[in-house]
Amino acid sequence: MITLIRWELHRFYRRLAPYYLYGALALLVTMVTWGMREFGRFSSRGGGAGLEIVGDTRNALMVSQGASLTVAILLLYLVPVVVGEIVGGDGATGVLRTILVRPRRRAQIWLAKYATAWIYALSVSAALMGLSLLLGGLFFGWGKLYSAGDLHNGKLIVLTPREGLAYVALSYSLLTLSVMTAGTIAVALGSWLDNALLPGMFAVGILITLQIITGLPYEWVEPLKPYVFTTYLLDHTKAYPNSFDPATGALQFPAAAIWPMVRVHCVTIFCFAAAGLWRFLQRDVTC
Amino acid sequence: MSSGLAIEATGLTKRFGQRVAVDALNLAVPRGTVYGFLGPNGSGKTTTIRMLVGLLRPTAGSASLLGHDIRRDLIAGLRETGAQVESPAFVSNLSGRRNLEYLGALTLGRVPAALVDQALARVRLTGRDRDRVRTYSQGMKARLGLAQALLCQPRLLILDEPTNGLDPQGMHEVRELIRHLAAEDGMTVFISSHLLAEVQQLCDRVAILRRGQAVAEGPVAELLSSAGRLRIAVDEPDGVDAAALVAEVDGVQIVAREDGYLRLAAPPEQAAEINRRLVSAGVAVGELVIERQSLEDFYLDVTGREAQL
Repeated sequence: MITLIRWELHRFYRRLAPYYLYGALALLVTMVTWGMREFGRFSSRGGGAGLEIVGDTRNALMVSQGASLTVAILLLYLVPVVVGEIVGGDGATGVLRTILVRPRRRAQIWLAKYATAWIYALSVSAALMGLSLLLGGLFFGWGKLYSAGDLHNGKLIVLTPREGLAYVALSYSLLTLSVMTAGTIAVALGSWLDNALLPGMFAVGILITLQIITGLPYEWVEPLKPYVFTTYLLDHTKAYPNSFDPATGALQFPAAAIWPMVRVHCVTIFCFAAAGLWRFLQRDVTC
Repeated sequence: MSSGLAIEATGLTKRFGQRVAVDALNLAVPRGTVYGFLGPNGSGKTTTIRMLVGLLRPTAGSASLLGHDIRRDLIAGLRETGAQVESPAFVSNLSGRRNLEYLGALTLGRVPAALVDQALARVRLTGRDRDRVRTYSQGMKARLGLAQALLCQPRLLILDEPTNGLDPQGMHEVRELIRHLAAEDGMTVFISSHLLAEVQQLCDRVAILRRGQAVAEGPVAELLSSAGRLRIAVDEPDGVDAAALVAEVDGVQIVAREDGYLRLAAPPEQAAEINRRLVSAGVAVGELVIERQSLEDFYLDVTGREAQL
């Protein structure tokens, strides 16, 4: 299995598309960092408590947090397009029939391809996090992470660099989960569509359609929302602590905010991956 | 399933919706033979091959590769089989060598460089092996297709139109290679082809498909001799119908009667009996010629002379 994944990665990274996305990320992170540098220091006024933050909060962690908020949309829409080709592209070019007459179980071949999609999504998130930390560190240095989640109680949450880094990493992990929910839909559709581009396009289409539906101001939509993954697409931003334990005064891990997201994404990923694998095992290869 | 057969199919059937592509096909390909699989476009050749190598699921029937049932034990069968189905398709942005290493890894985990070198040398691709496949001509892709099928030293080779895209020298080389593989290495070679002259030169046995069913099967020499043609120059006395006389002989069919000649489809061993009947009825036989059929004539006779889709 490791051999198969290694070869799938080798094949995947011989294409240009994965690198375009890395390039786009580099450009955007540079722009975010430059924007933070050019447009000055934060000076914001808090909510009802009248708390005013005065000072320079810019540092590597803040840049990384900012990048995950602004660039996430790009990943959610472009990663499915890139990974959709992994299965669908082989069907389109006929390579699938060359591969499938080799003595390997179809399940192994599909799982190696799916693992490649995961590795790519992880690498993209890691690249975004790493690059934003690097550029933020170069421009502004290292420092504490500020979270304004509890400002309405008059409290500004300040995380030490070590704590901040852990929460930024958690946020990027959740972003990867969101990205791979969309990516899984694209890979799964590749088992149906022998085309390099269509699986990714359809996955993005599903994403947009569900976002529109769950955004409709109708009563019948409300009960659906908790079960639809698009409700939680950007919930990686909730990975930061936003309250203190009333008893101990310690920072509270935001489990209640992220658990529904993790649960719905995992169920969605499992369902689409199972459907894609089932189709790949059952299908007649006529391409 | 008999282990003496490289490929065995019993009642193999494939339906696509209402259309029956392969209809209860029986096949028995003995080990060590070069077996030709013929038929017009749409007759079910490629569908049969796709079922044998697991790309399509049979609707009914059973088949085995080297004694391994394709439904229960396909992987074991494929481990000893090299296959090229339809036009060769490779990862276009990898070199020919890397493609072979990739496909070899799918079979062996890691393919020794010597095996790749040997396969490339056999199809004369050694000089271009590090170029990307997207720069290859159709003929080079066909050679690479053959190389990947030969890569892991299979005991059974299944080739779908292996000389498509090759120039005459390339075709000759492939024919020689197939002969060598069968004669020296004892490999069983199962070839689907439209090039009937090639099949006649190369194959020990053939099966001819028409509308998903085998309409003829057997050793090439036997099929051709069983379906010979006779041309007889006759001079009939009044009141004697030479055609009626010969039509009574077993296995004889009148094909045409023209300008004092009778043309018959008849087994060649019936020539003496035909001659005896004509002479004893007073018909002067000026000439009796046994016309050996080519595989093409035979093929057209059994599949029909008009294209069918």
